[in-house]
Amino acid sequence: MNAFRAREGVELVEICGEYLLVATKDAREACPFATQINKAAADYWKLLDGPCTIQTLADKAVEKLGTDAKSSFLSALMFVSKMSKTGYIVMEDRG
Amino acid sequence: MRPFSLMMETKIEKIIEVRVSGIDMRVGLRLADTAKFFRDYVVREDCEGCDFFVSDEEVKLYPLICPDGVLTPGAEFYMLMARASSFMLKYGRALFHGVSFLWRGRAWIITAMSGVGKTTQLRHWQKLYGDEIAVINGDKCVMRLEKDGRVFVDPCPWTGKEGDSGFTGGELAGIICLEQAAEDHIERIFPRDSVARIFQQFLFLAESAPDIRSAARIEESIVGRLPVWLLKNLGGEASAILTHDTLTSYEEADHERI
Repeated sequence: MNAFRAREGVELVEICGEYLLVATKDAREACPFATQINKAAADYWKLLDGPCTIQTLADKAVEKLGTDAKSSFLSALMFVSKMSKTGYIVMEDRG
Repeated sequence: MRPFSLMMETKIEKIIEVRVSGIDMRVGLRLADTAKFFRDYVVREDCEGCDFFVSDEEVKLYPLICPDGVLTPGAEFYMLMARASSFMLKYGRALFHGVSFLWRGRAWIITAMSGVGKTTQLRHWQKLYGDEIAVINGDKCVMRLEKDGRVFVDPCPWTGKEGDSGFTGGELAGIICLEQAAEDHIERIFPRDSVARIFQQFLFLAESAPDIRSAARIEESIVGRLPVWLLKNLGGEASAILTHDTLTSYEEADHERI
């Protein structure tokens, strides 16, 4: 299963209960400057503390967010799909 | 201060000290002629040591502003804007893209991406309500976050091509986000619909996480405390009348509540 990680130089900020992913200068060639995400995506983003797979991310969601295994896996899949399309997540080749 | 070695590699013709929003900044100019754009803000000429300047790398990064890598005074002035804004972030200030004016004793900002009609709206207000308003800046302003959480709008040298500017700012009363539409309509919007729109109008280099968090803190005080409006409009005077009358009703109702 492919591993992925948060792109370096992308910051999650919270403003009045809303969440933005903001790219610093180094990251801006690969992703938009600022994108609003919902709380669920922000919660998953906060779980990215190094290289992950969908399964390990889902496992962390079960542990930290208290969600059930099936919905965590589906949510993790959707989250990674969206975030990798916008460039905020980087897929790593495992060969 | 920029590293001395980087300064030595870049030929700086002049260093001026300017005061913007109460913050003194030593600006290194590669072209002495650029100083003319700061004339109303200069507090000292011919300083030693500078806080920032435009680097060779930045000139290469912006071929539209510096065709063939050639820097002109106008281009240098424009490129110094983001550097100045980033410098001011640690003092709770940042440049913001929008027309700003004083009305009913406080500052209002109309913001949108370039070309949407901010200057058109300002012209309507000047024509219809010229005796009620005083322009702060026709293109950019400084947002200043005070310790008590209030936000003030200050003038700055970057006025845009029309050159509208004043020298007096005021406490921010609200922001109007502008969109083009098939009919005129104004409504209050709340953080879910305003946070991204407003954040994208802060002008700064976003080189680091602390810079981003500083801008976010300023916005938190705006969006959390002040009304933000969305004006969808055809671009005619009717949209300015709609905005004026809606805000007047809101202000008067708000005053009665207090």
